[in-house]
Amino acid sequence: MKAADWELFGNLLDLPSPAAQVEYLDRVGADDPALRGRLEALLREHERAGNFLENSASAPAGERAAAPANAGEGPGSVIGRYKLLELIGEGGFGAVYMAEQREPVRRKVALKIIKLGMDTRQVTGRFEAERQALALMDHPNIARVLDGGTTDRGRPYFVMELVRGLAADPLL
Amino acid sequence: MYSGAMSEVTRLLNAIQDGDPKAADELVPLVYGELRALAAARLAREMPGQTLQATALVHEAYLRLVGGGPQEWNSRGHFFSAAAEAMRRILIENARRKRSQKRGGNLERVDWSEVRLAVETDDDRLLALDEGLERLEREEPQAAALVKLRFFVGLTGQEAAQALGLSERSATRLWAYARAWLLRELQTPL
Repeated sequence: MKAADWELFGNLLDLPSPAAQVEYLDRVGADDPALRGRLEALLREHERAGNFLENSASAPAGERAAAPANAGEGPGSVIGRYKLLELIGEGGFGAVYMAEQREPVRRKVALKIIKLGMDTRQVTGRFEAERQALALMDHPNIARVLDGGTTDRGRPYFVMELVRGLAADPLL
Repeated sequence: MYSGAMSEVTRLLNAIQDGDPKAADELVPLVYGELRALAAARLAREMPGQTLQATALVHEAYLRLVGGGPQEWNSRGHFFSAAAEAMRRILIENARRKRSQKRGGNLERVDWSEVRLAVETDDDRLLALDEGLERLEREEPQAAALVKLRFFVGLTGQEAAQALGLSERSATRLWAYARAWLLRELQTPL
């Protein structure tokens, strides 16, 4: 089966140097000049693409201004003693991740971080109040706050028990 | 929430899973209706100036229509793909309506301008992008699906890859291809 354009284009982008890319295009062009033309045009666009489409149409403007692509925490990031595994919920000003705690015990927890671009004093204040309110409560139906702090980027977070249905957390 | 919609969504997700190609087309309007209803309810409740985020709306619609329990990730993926298509329609309708509003009355109940959707993308460019996206869909459907999930719903690359059942490597390559392909179609950067 003939490889799709996107796969060939991926191969082209994987090459380490412009010289290797030219060599690849020459080889492709010997068999299929039209394909070579398509790949060359795509490569030109790729090089001037900048952050085209990288800023989601759905991200609030403030978030975009504050957060260049990939600047925020996400799965794989390590925050304090916790490694983020998966986004399990997102709301107006917070995102909740399933995270792994390594020490002193190894367990899964829920870690809520204030959203990028939302860390104005007012929102941070609301968040702080929520953190304290939750910490005061110790009820079987309320996720217990285990830990809290600020990330390297200065965003408040807190760690809660991972309970079923947390994604529907009304405080999200 | 009306539980009829919830069981209908579950039925359609199962049908998509079983390979029924029409089920996905039926799912989109249901999700579309839920997104609009949610946005209207939220806007009525929230303080003026409050803005909603498409990503948050889609997650909330998912919880309401599918539930918060553990789901197979591919049924979650089908839902998000339907939501991405619904969100694209909403955005495009919004852009078209804003264009035509000069001509007539406004019967719209939801003021989508209060929903933070595509605020920075100018309407003409959004419509041009959408036309390009339709062409891309015919040529490389998965690349178009990826753009919809990332651009219209705001999923991360990793989330979008998972929703489509793609490896991250393939998703990264398709994304690079889609961006270059659409830029070539549009000729001017958004």
